[in-house]
Formats: sequence, C-alpha cells, structure tokens
Amino acid sequence: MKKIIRLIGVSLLFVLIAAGCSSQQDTSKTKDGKQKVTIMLDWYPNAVHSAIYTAKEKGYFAKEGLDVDIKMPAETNDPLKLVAAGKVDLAISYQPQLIVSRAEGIPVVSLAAIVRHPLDCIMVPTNSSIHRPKDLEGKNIGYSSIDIEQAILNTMIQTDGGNPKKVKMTDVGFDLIPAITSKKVDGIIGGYINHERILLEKEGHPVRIFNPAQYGVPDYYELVLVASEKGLQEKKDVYKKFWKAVAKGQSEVTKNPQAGLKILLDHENDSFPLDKQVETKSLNILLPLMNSKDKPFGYQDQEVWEHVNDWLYKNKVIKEKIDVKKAFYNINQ
Amino acid sequence: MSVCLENVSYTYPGETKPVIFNFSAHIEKGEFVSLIGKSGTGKSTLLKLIAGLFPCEEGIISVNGKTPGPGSVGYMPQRDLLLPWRTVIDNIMLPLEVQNKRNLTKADAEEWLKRIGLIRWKDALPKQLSGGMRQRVAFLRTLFMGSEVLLLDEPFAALDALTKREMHDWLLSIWKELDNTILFITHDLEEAILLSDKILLLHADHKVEEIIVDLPRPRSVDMVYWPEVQTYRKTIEKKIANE
Amino acid sequence: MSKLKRLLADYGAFGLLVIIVVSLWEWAARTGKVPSFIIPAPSKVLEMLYEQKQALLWVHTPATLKEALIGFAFSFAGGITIALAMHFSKLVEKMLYPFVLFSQTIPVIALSPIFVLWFGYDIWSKIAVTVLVAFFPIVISCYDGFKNIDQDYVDLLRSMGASKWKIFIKVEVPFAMPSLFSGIKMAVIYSIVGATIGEWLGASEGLGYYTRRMSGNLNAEGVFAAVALLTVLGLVLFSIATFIEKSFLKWNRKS
Repeated sequence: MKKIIRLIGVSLLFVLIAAGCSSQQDTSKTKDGKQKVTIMLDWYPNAVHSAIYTAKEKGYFAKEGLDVDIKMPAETNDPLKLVAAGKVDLAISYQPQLIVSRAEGIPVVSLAAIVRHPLDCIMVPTNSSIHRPKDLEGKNIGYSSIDIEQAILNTMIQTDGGNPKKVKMTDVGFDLIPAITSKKVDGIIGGYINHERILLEKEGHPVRIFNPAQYGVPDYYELVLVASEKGLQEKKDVYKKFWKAVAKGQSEVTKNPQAGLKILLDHENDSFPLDKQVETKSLNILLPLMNSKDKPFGYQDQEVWEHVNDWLYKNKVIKEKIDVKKAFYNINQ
Repeated sequence: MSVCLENVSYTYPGETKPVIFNFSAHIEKGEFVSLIGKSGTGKSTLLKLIAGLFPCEEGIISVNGKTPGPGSVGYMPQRDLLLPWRTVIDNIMLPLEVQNKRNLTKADAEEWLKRIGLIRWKDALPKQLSGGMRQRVAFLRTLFMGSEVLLLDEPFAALDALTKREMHDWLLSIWKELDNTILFITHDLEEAILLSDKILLLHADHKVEEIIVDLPRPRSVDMVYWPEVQTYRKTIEKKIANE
Repeated sequence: MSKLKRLLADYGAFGLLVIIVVSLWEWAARTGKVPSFIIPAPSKVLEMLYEQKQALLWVHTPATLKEALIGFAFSFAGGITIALAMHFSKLVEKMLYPFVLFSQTIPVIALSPIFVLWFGYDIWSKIAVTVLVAFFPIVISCYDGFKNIDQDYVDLLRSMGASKWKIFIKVEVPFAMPSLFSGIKMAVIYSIVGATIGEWLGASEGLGYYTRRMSGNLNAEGVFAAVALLTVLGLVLFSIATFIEKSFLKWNRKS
C-alpha cells in the first residue's frame, strides 16, 4: 500500500520547491471566515480515512470554524517532506518513518496515533510451505526498498530463530501484488492486512500473514497525524480543533461503520470508485486497531516511541537515537 | 542510326493531355543535337523516355537498334546530383560500380580529370567545388556510363555567363576526343547553335522542326560573334515567336 | 587561437553559469532558504559521492550502464528493423505505425505488472523498459530519414540501371544517416532514463534503485549523488555518439 511510488513523485517535489520556498503556508481565511487547513493523506482515500471524510461531510470541521482541504500524495514520503517544508499543514504518515525523518533533521512532530498497531505484515500464499518466519530461510521475499522493511523482516526472522542472511530479498518496486501473484517471489512484506490481504483473497490468492508485533518488532503506530514543529507552535489551537472534529467523526464511524463508509464511497465515486466489499472488510479490521480501549482516540504512549526508537537504532536504520519527547505531542490533551 | 524515335507520345499518369504527341526524330551516330522549345513542350520528358525512366507505351524508341532500358544511355539531369559523401573520383566511378563494369578504371578517371583541369580535386568532396566544377565532374560521371549516347538536360543552365563560356570552350575542345552522340536540351539559342550539328525545335502544337547548323568543325567559342550564328539565331527566334 | 583559449571561448560562458548556479544553490541550502531534506547543498552531495564511491561507482553505475547499453543495442537493432520494414512495405507501415505510437503513450506504471509477469526481476525487465523507451526515436528518425530522401538522386541511379537494392545501399542509406544519428543521440539518453525507470519496477542494484532507496529513507544527498552520476553517464554516452556521428558524417557538416 505505502510502496506505490510514482514517476512524477520526485519531479513534482522539485517543481513545488522551485515554485516557492516560503516556509509558511498561506493560511488566509476563506470567504466565510473559516480557517483553511490542508491535510495530505498517506495514500489514496480508503476506509482508514472514513473519520476525516465523515467530519467534513457532517460539518464537524465547519462547526470548529475550519475549512479542510484534503490532498493526495504522489510519493510515500511526500506527506512528511511537504509538512516539514510548510506546504501542507498536516499529513498522515508512519511512526517509524517519522523517527527516521527526525534523525535526518526533518522537523516534524506526531500529534496523534490514527492506527495504533502495525498493518504491515509478511504475506505468503496459503498453499506455501512457509508456516513461520523461520521457514523463510532459503526463500525469496519481495519488498519495496525501504530500509525499515528490511529491518522488520530481519527482526521477525531472528526472533523466530532463523538466520536473516539466508533469506533473499528482492526489491519489487511499484507493486507488491504482481510480485506474489506471478510467483516471482515466495512472499512479500509491505502489504497491509486491511488492504493487500483482502485484495489477494478477492483475486483468488489467499495468503497467510505473520504479524511483526508477534515476532520481536515493537508494536508501533502504523499511521500517525503529523505537523511541522513550526506549525505546532503557531497553530496549536487550530490543530486541536481539527482533531476534535476528527475524533467525533471516528466515534460516528465506530457506532455506524456502514454509514461512515458510505460517506467515503460517495465522495470517491466520481473520481475513483472504491470497492465496497474490500473497504467494508478493511474498516472492520481497522476499527479495533484504531480505537484504544481506555484512552481517547489518538493518544500516544511515550513508551511506544521509546521502543520504536531503540529498535530502529539497534537495527541500524538510524545512526543515532532521537529525543522522542520532541517527536510527539498529544494534541488531544 | 544511333537514336531513333517514331511517333512517340506520352501522357503523365493522371493527366488528360499528352505532353509529347507523335514525336519523330532521327539522330545520327556522332551527332550533337540540341533540343529547344518553350517550357512545357516535353523536352525533359523526352530525355527521360529515352533514358528508360518512363515506360514508352506509344511509339517506338530505339538506341542502336534496341529498345533502351534504364542504364543503356548516359543521362545527365539538370542538377549535378553528385553524392555528397563521395569524393570527386568516387562520384565519377559511380556508374561502373552500379553496372558492375570494369572497362574503365580509376586511372582512366584521373586521366579525364587531368584533361578537364580538376586533377587537384580528385579526393575532394563535392561541397568543396564550385557549381561549374561540379557540373564538369557530373559530365565525366555521365561519360563513365560508358554509353555512346549521352542525354544532357540543360547541364549549363545554372552557371553564370562566364563559367558557361568556359564550359563551351572546354566541351568544344574535347569534342574531337569524344565519339559520343549527344542530345542536349537548352534554352540558350547561342549555346545550341554553337555546339550542335542539328537543332530540333519543338513547337507548342507538338510539331518538330529540324534546323541544320551548317558551321565548320572544329568550333570555337568566338564563333559566337560570327554573323552566320546571329542569322541562325534570328531565324529561330522568329520561328518561336510565330507560334 | 591556442587550444586553451578556444576551449574558454566555447565553454567559458557555460562554465561561468555553472559556477554561479552552484554557488547560489550552496548559499540557499546553507542559509536554510531551501529545505535541505529536499534540496541538499552541493557540498553535502559531493561528500555523499565521496563517502559512497565504492558502491556508487563500482556497483550501481556499472549495473545501470549495462542495462542501458544492452537495451540500446536491442533498441537500435529493433528500431531499424521496424523502420525498414515500414519503409519497404506500405502494408507493414499501416499495421505497425499505430502500435509504435501507442507504445509511447502507455504509462510505464500500467505496464509494470505485465513486465513483472513476463520478465521477473532480473536484468531483462530493465532491458524491456529501456527498449520500450529508446526504440521510438530510432524508428521515427530512421523512417523519416528514408522518407525525406531527394527523389532526384534515386532517379539518377535508376537512369544508370541500378537495382532497387543498389539504390538502397548507395543512395538511400547514406542520405538517411543524418536523421538516424539524431535518433541515435536521443536513444542513447533515453536508454539511461529507461534503465533507471526499469529499476524502479524492481531491482537490487543500479542508480535508479539507489535513488528510490535513498528517497525512501529521506536521504536527499543520496538521491542527488545518484542523479549527478546519471547525468554524467548521459553526457558521456551522448558525447560518444556525437563523436561517432562527426566521423561518419564529415560530408554533412556545413563548413
């Protein structure tokens, strides 16, 4: 899901930068006095964004005095970079990637945890001889060139008593699904349990999954809401209001998933019709992973951040540990 | 008889009116014959028919008793068409390569280049030569077709007056050594009279008029000032004007 | 003029422009006018190039170069074959020309799963993408080169009794050369581009793979370092093609 990289991605960034290097986005009020807020999603609109679309459709944003503009990324790292560069107010991205960004000196902060557990997993065909990560020894796994994926794979194999060096990893570029359906690789990592898995089942290629959190990888937040350090300083109130509306949307969707989904599907029907079946299944998988039992929607635990930070450092994905206290801020406090 | 045409007619595909109609002419071996007439009277087309570039469907054309096909006569079009990537000497040798003949060699080409004063340019590329020089090289190439019959389509038309005079001088001087039969198209009456044994005047109504040029050979360029030449010229001009 | 003076006269202005642009860029990056994680300072890029020279120069550059060269070879052979087939047969032209055009309008993303299915992830999928991208300028330039030949030359050879084959070899081919070389120069650059894109579809080495990986890890210096090398590759190949063209087409230069 997050591994789709478009040709125009890099050049789009260049054009954006060339067009203007101001670090503050235009935050003028709209005609009816509402505050403009731009948010860039992690990927194309899908079930996980139901809360946001519900908040927009049902006027929760408007009630908070906000006019929210939802944007799509061209490349998976666009959201982080554009938020840091001040081209968008908010973005949805991945907790491990955020730590990597901060390690590279990119000033971004996580405001809330949208999906509190990993969605990423290893997938192998159900009829394969691989029944646990250790069985991957001697086999070929497709991934999408992100170092984090490699780290996840290595940790899972090691925890299960295997030797990661005996596993061949092939960078399969754009699409994970063709890699596994064409049988060019024995399994893939980088697909999501609420998306690629469902699609593969639908196409007649059911898969067995291995959850990273069960094999030594810290239970990280798959999707987080991101803002720039500067943005958080200057527009904290705006973002608080934003999240308030989204949280309301989320509780609506949790109460009545069908209705929430319908709003998303109707919105997307004109530009890109979504598959109702796939998205319904996806939402059912997502909701328990998004909502916390006892904490408010989006609450982030410092412990989780510390664990991910340590793990990334141990696996040499980042050269130095970062100060996690600077990396997150609970916008709903 | 070297070249013989009997009742030749030709219509371009797609046209309704014939460009040549019932044309007949006999050209003796070793004759230099000029073909003159207003534009559109089919002179170039005639040469192309004799050269075998167009099929002759009406009438008979024979060169030395045989129907001519492509490659049987030497044809020199208006532009020199020297191949730009070949040296002067390679351009001259081109017909021999095309026809796979060995009767003439590079040594022969060099001989001829000496005769026309261009030996220094043997290995030069065409773009290094002036227009007049290129025309001379093209003439040698035509000679090296090895054919007795040469068809020359306004070969000196694009040259300036002085260079033209030089070409006439040169052509007349080597005429003795050439034992070719030449059919020569020109719009320059003086040129036609100076060079030819016979002039064929092609009228707009497709009639052909033959004018014998009774001047002594060998000729020279200053014969242009002879009163006989001017008389011929006036006569021909009147004939053309009266069409 | 001495050689040095002539070099300065020809490329002096360009060199000056490069110096100005690079200086401005360095200044903009250092003072934070552009975010360094999107456009890094040239000095940092050079640092990266030096640090990673082992991998970049001995692993990734040769990999991409190999794909580009093999891809170009196939493009050249295939492109000329298609162009000649279209030249000699009107029927073939009517059949193939539309496909040639279609092949260029299909976004590579759409073809990616198909290529994976047919070629897997080894070098052949990169070569396939390279050929897709690079054969087009060759076909068009070769075909147009033959189409635009001055008929008078053809007629001249006909009047000499030349066979169609002789006319083709002695007149048409040399006349088509200038156009074909233009296509070759373009194809050479496109081969580099194609190899890079091919690597994006799935690879384990090469400058395209390296770029994507660096981008995925938010390492802008890495991206630029690889891009710099790709640029150099392109320039080198283009210069070689131009040099070969100059020696073949001495007759065509307007002196």
